[in-house]
Amino acid sequence: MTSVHSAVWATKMSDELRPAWVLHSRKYRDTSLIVDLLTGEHGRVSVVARGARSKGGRLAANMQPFRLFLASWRGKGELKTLTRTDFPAPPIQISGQCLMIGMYVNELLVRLLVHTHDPLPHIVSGYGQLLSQLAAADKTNISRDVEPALRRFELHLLEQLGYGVSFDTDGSSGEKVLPSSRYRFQAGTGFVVTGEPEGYSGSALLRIDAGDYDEDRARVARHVTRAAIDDLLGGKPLVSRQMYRSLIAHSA
Amino acid sequence: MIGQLTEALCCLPGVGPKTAQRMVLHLLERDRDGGKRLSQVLADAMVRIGQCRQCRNLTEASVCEICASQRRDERVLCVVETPADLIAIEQTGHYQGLYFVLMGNLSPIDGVGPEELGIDLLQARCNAGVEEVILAVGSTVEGEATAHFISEMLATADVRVTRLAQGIPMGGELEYVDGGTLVHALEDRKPL
Ligand SMILES: [Zn+2]
Repeated sequence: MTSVHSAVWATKMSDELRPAWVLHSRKYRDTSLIVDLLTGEHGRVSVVARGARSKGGRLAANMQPFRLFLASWRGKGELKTLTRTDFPAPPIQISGQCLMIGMYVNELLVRLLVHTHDPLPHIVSGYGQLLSQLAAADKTNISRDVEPALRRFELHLLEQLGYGVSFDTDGSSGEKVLPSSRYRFQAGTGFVVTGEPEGYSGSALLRIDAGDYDEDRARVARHVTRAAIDDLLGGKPLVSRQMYRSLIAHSA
Repeated sequence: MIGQLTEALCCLPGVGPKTAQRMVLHLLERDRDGGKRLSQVLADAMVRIGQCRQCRNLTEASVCEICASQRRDERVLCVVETPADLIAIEQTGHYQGLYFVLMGNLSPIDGVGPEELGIDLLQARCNAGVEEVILAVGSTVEGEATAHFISEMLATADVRVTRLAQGIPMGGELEYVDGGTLVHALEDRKPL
């Protein structure tokens, strides 16, 4: 996390203002916004920002995705009312293909964190780190610079939500994954040993488990996280994934 | 029935229950002819106004007036997010090219992807004599994503893709301009 971001987290003790990331905002009535926030203490929170689009829309301009700011809100229902905001840090600049990846991450969080008010401190800090990496990434080498970080974030997210994927254990037998065996992935169960030669190699799984990625292992991790995430989403596809795919298909 | 009408009028932007009630009473007490005309035109418009098959702008014709005009420069295509943006540019009287109206911007969380914005239609148009595409999309994260997506999709087409300059508003004093705008203005600076 950058020093600016640490500063934002440090000020949170002063009063009820809490650090929050903007995941998404949409127009509400004539001058307001409904903003989806990712917070460490309260999970995903939806707030109404009253009048955010009036007077030149300065608040609306600040309430953009990937913005970290300080917020306080009140209300008992699902939809809270934003009462106070402070924007001590400038927005993170994410562009190009990394911006598409960022939008995917936000869509993923909005879809997976439905009515989750549990504290999510680890997801939130992982999110901040991932965004910093997206902002700093070398755009000519996305697969090297960004993919491993994205996979780690997805796996971490799954784990925090109670759907962790174990890369070192056979999900069916409970035995340790062996480097010389082959495995197939089954959402809900995990890796299961298989006799089929096109299965994932145990040694690749163990290296992914150790956070050691190369292009092949990043692809394995991509297939696995996609299967696990699709299983959780229950059939309705992610729009941003289709968007990203058509971009890749076009530039290929 | 009065209640029904009041409630129906509340679908208009800026109209709350009080304003709606005033409108209803005005029409019933003082302007029944106006009310009848409004209901007829409204019913017609809701049925007959669709989208131009070339630029997707709102029109009751299959091809809108701008696309059908002989006086517009067909080599330049300005991509806007909404019909309101198109009107704003038209009112400057400064632009002679054609338009493409996305009717939104890329916003996956709202379920809006490239298909909803008609990007394939835009690509097809760019293969037909267009030399420059001006991306006049908003300076928001979604606008940024939309601009990136379109420029990538048009990378293989033989067109120049430009984006509206972002900078200091007319009459704006520097100290009141936000940091993001200043950064863009610095990057987009031009020689005098
Ligand atoms: Zn048209």
